[in-house]
Amino acid sequence: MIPAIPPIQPLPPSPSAGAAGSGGGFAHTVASAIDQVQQTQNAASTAEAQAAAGTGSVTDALISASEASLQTQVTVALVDKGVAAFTDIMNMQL
Amino acid sequence: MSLFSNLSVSGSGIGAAQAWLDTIAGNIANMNDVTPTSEATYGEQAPVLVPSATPGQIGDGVTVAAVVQGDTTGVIASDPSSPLADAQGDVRVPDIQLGAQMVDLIQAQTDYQANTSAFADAKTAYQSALTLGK
Repeated sequence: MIPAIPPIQPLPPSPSAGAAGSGGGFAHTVASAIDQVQQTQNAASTAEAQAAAGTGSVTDALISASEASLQTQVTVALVDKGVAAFTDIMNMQL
Repeated sequence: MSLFSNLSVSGSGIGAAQAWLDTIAGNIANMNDVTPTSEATYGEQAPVLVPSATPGQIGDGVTVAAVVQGDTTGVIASDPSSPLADAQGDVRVPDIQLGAQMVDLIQAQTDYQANTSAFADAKTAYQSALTLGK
């Protein structure tokens, strides 16, 4: 007899970079996102140093590096979009 | 649950496969151990893999909970020329079958490759999501 599939539990709300900057506008949001990218990159650097020294795992280092790379790409894409929107408004014909 | 949770989930799978490969390597390395019949011999090792987070959560990683050691009784083999042999010329050797270990090794290798594939595909998927805004 196959047991019934358990109901899917709702995921806990994830802390987003945008929530931190809800009161400070776009600049604050970007700053907190960049801070988070910096933290991920620091973690990747630490993991890489440990792997190079032989005390950590190479796979962990490469995974942190991939995460840092992806997170940077996301942040850059979002900032580019925001700046493009601002430029569009500035170039509006009056 | 971070933004790129798939990467860390695949990473935990790679770690688990690595632990499995390590135990198999240890089993093969200790296959030819010889001990006196009065002592215990090497017991076959295997990792115990369990989900790392609450069951039911989307995207569970895997954790190596423990490494269990099998039967240390081994088998009695006749080797009168060994300096460790008892009065009857017997020694104790581990009960490890090379064929079974090699099959496990192929499974562990496939496990590792599957996890790296999942990792690479997830990365490609995330990157293609970024092109949506262009």
